[in-house]
Amino acid sequence: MRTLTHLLSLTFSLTLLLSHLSPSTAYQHSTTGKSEQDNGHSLTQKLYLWPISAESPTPLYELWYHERREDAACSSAGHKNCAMTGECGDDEIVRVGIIDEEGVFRGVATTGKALKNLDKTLINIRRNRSDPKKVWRVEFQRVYDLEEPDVRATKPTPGPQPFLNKPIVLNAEGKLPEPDVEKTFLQKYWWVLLAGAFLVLSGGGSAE
Amino acid sequence: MRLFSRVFSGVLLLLPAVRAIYKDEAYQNDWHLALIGASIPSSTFFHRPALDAKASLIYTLTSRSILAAINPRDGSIVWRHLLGDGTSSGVARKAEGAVIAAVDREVKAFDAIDGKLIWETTFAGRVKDLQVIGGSTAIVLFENGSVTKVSGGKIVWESPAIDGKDIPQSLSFQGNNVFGLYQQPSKGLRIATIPAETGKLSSSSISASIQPMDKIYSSASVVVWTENSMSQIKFLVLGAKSPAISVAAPEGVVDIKFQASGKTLLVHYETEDKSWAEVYGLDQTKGSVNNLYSLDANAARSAFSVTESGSETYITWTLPNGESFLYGSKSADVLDSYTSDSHNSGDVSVLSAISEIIPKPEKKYAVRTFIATSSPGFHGNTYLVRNGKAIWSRPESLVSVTASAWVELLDPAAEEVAEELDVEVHKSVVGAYVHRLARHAHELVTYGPDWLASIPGRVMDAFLSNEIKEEKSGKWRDFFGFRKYAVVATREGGLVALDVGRKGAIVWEVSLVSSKDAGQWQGVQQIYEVGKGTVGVVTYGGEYWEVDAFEGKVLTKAPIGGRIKSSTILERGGKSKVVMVVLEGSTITLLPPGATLGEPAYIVVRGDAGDLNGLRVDNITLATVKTWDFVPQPTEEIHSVINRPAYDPIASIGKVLGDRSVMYKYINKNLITIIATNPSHSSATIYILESVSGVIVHSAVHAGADTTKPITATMSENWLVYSYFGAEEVNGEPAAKGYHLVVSELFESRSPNYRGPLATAQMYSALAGEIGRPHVLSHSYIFPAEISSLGVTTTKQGITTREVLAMMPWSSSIIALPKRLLDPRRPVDRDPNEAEREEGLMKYAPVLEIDPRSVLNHKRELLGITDIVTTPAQLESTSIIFAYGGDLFGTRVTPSMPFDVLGKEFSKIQLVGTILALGVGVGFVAPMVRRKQINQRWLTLS
Repeated sequence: MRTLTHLLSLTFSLTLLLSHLSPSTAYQHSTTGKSEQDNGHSLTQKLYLWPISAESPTPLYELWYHERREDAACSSAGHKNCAMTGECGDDEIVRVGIIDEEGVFRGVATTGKALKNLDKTLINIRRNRSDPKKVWRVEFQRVYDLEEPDVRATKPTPGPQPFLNKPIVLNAEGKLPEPDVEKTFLQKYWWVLLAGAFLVLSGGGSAE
Repeated sequence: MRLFSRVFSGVLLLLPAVRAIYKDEAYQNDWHLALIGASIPSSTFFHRPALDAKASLIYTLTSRSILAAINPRDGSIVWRHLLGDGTSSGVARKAEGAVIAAVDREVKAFDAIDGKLIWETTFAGRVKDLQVIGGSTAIVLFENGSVTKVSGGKIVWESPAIDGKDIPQSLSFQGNNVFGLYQQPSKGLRIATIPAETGKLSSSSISASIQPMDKIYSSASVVVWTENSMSQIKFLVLGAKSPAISVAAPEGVVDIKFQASGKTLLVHYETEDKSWAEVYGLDQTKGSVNNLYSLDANAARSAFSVTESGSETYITWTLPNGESFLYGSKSADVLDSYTSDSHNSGDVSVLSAISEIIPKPEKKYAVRTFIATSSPGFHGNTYLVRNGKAIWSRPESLVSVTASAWVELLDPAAEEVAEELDVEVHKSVVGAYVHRLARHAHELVTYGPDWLASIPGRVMDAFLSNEIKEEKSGKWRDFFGFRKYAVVATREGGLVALDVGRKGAIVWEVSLVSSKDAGQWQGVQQIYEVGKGTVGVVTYGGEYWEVDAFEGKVLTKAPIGGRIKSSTILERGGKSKVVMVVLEGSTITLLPPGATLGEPAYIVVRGDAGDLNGLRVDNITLATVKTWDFVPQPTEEIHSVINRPAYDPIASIGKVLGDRSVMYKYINKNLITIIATNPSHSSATIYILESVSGVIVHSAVHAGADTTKPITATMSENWLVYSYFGAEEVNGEPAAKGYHLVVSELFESRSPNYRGPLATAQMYSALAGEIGRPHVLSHSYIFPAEISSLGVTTTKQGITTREVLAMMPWSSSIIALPKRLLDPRRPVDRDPNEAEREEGLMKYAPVLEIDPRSVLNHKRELLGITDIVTTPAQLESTSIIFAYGGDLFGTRVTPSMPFDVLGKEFSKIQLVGTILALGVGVGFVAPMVRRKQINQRWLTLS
């Protein structure tokens, strides 16, 4: 019984120790769809779909996005789109896009099949670079490894730059500065181990 | 063993791909046609490079602003220099032991013997004309009208223009005075007289009614011009006080040219079908001009040259058919005439001819004439005629190659059998059987005693010499497939086949234009190899030509029905290839006429408003529907669109890492790269777009990219390489100013061994979104030189590693950069660990050094190259390279060393000798060993 208690306390102290050592790196999943309009997405954009057999585009979603932030949202599909109603076939090409300021439809191509199940869709809003309030391009894509619809307003990624060699900085004596040698585990956390050992040893003898 | 193979492969990776390291290894496989372009007649001359030189050289400045010295003996280029950007014209004049040339704003003097720069001066204004007044002193006339005297590169005096509205024409020098000739907008002509010593200007005006098509000419002693649209010719002798003399021009003249030398002036008339000349003598003191003689009319589009030799002045007249006549300056008697042995077609016109005449005893003459010709499709070809015999020629028209296509040659073995089998297919069973029997009987004869008897001889040949005697020629390819034809089109409409494996020899020439419609010619859009030995040519003007690629015969010519926007070739199963043409207004036509589209096609077309559209083409009606569009960001414009090479085999779908896990390549043949630039903000954006659905799979913004400098890219497999000039500051942070070479490699997923949706799918639909999102790894490197064009090697199976080929105008050379040097996985700021070392990854270094051993052209200078195209050889190790756009250059490279062919240093005799020696040795030692072993047994037993 006594050994068990000791064991428990040891485990506890080790857990404490380890949790102290590794800061929490829980993966922060980017905010995804389904959220309502009240989370600060001030700007809206209508997304249309346009089957090639149709005369004109019809609204698909309402997109909400922020001027700078990456997270965005879309209205939950209230009405059924053409693929759900069967107006456009599985293999029919359906264009999904926006209507720009000049009234021209601009979009990307997908098929009716991709529109049937909207769970795995990725909607990528690309902003106008000179006026981030405006939308330059919206891309609709079906991505298989998604759990739920993902709407995001991505920023343009800067291109890679060469990693330049760092200039050598000498200290006042004209020598290379001594690199800070990182303390070893024991040097850093001897006191925790000591405390643990103390706990274990002073576990108190039960009246036997 | 495994360790050994790993170490061995590591060593292999570290070796540079084999190059000519020793002098005798260079120039074996590579060839170079140094072209200069069409000569400017007034800047082309024979000139003794030094006062005491025995022979003279030909110096010429061309319309591509290349100043060159040509050896008249064999037509080789002694030296040449690219002046300016290759588009602006200029003037070149002879000086004492030098040649002084002016292009744009620069005046340069070059040593006439070796072409070394003696001095140079850059001015604020553009140079219009230049005259040398002795030594290396020159007078320069600028386009703003001012005149400057330059001596040894230093400005002696400057004389500003009197009236800014005057259009400067030319400059003459006589005695101690310089005459500047200006055209005045309303009144006529103005002659400015400037003493060469002081630069003090005095000028006089002459009234003349000069129309836009009129000609103005001035030489050292006379000013000649035409008036009222070439109906009148006026002469004014310089230095004399007399008024201009007027002569009526003949009727129906379409062109008048003037040439003067000393006291002789030649007026060359051209009508639609005739040409002739009148020769005038000038009297300096009286200021009069008198007609000496006139020549009878002969064929049109000829050229005259007025040459001074000793105290005599000679006139040579070169006709388009190669005939030439020599006249003196006194009378119309022919001193000598030369018929030509060449058979020029009727459409040739002589652009210019310059002569060098040396009188010999007994009224004989040694005449050398350097002739530049123009025929439909071919502009600027030059040749030299010595006493009527063509000595050499230079295909200068190939300087303007704009499109090319590779043509596979036929495999002699396969072709023969295929032909025989084809015959059998079309016969009855019995007939086919008899045919087969006959074929085998024939083979018995072919490979009979004679063939067997020749074996020892052939084996000996193979042993003793490395050269294969019976090298295949014509349309039959060689065993290794090093020979291929490149069919190229010139800007003027000529179609030429070059044998790339045979030092670029011209196989045939065909013109796609006739002299009648040369004015409407708009250029070749693209050339395709549409079938075995057939090329299809699509022209912008809306014509489709099919030409036999081996013989150069035109098979068909059909109008397409409109101006062409773009075209592409589709392989629709089997042998048949279909060329799809997009006409203006986005209507689609299939070529050859009558071709069908098996299934709907998806194509990408540049829109009229600077956008890019994805179109779906219906397989039956050929109606198009826009599937997607790409409009660049509002401030950007599309700079260029790059796609993967048509032939781009991928041997391995993944990249095996050091720990035996695999990074799967994102392979999608529908990827295109769009480079969009923003000149006002100096930025460039690279988009990789999936061209069926229109989804951007990767984009990168390069702020601070100089859009005035070349931005080039090339794609292959799963990667993209591009180059641009970066500024010293990017988004407020210091950056590396200079040329950057960026590599982006696309993988299926971030983590090794995990495949994206493309995975094992036999088919996937880009439209349904099954293309996933690639994981992109990028690295940027600093490259020490500007890159004007990029290419990538291709091999038959794609097993050999690839090399990126970069044209560097700065050093006039093409460098081959191994792809693994550009690997985006090179570890940064640390040495590679063991697994990475095993992969062949090196520590990242920000600067890519130019390894001189990787320069494909060795010491040769390549000028004006715009495109580098590659094709595989039959050997997996070898890729054939052809570069065009100015000079023509061809070579072959082995990026992973020539692993499938024996090197030249491999000695078969040595191998056989070693085996024989070993055999003899074994024969000697074996009985001894046996005896020893037996003895040993007996000894141990006893």
